Amino acid sequence: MTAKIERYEVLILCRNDKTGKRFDVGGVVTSKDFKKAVINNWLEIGVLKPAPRERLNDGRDS
Amino acid sequence: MAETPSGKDKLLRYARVFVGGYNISGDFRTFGNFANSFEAADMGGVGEELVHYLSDGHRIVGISGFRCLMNDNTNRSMDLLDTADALTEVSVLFGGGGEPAIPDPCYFLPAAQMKAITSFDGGAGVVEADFLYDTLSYANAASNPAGVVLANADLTATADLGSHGVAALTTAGWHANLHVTATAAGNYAMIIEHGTDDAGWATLGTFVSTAGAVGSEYLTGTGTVNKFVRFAVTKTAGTATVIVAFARN
Repeated sequence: MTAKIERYEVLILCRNDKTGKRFDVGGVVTSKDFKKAVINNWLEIGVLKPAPRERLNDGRDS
Repeated sequence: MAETPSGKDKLLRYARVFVGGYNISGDFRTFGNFANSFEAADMGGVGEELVHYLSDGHRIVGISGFRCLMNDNTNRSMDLLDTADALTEVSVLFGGGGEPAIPDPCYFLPAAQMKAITSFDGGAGVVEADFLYDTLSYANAASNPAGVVLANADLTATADLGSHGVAALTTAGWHANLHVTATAAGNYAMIIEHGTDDAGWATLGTFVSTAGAVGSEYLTGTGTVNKFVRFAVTKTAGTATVIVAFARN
């Protein structure tokens, strides 16, 4: 079974040294971009917030 | 990657003193003390047994007896310190094994200069100053002056400087002094970042200065500072020399 990829909205600029990726304010971070502990910490201190769910073509939430 | 302090287990050899945008280390002679303390409150009563002390809750932070040779060249000690009641950033960096580097200890203040006494000491002209917290900055509760060096570097390109880690995150905010001591059409976005794993970084604070002019800046923030911190710059143009002192409250 494949783990569901979570999406988060970026509230404060963040970067990943290992991948060289930069995530600007208003962008999207997924659960594949950083370790779970890092994302949990950032949700707690306001660097990220859960992204609003998108509607899929078939009408379901993503 | 987290750096190892050069000053560890060594006698101090390299003190560097920055006032505003200027390095006056060559004029710096001695200091009285770098205060970061509380007074004991009177517990009352008379007895022969030991009693625990209570803090009076009044924290004393500041530099006293800061003594420099009286160098009246432009932007040296006499030129910078001859007027009391001036507000400026003051940072003293301590390098044990060499030039202060990340994350050597430092003591820094958003300072108000409280006095400017000139005198002769052993035939040498000296200027002596005391620095206390600029009260407007103190209101931000950024009260811990003992920190670490996050940058003492010439900027020539976009770079992430070495990081400094502590045992665990802190939650009482932070503050930092930036000194831009030289610039050649420098234009850099300068930020302090923090992270939990020394690999994923979020912006903790952004300096207003872009290193385009010699000067200094005091920056504060509240709340959580993760285990690791570092200074990072993004180049637009030019070169510059910067010093960053950082402390958790």
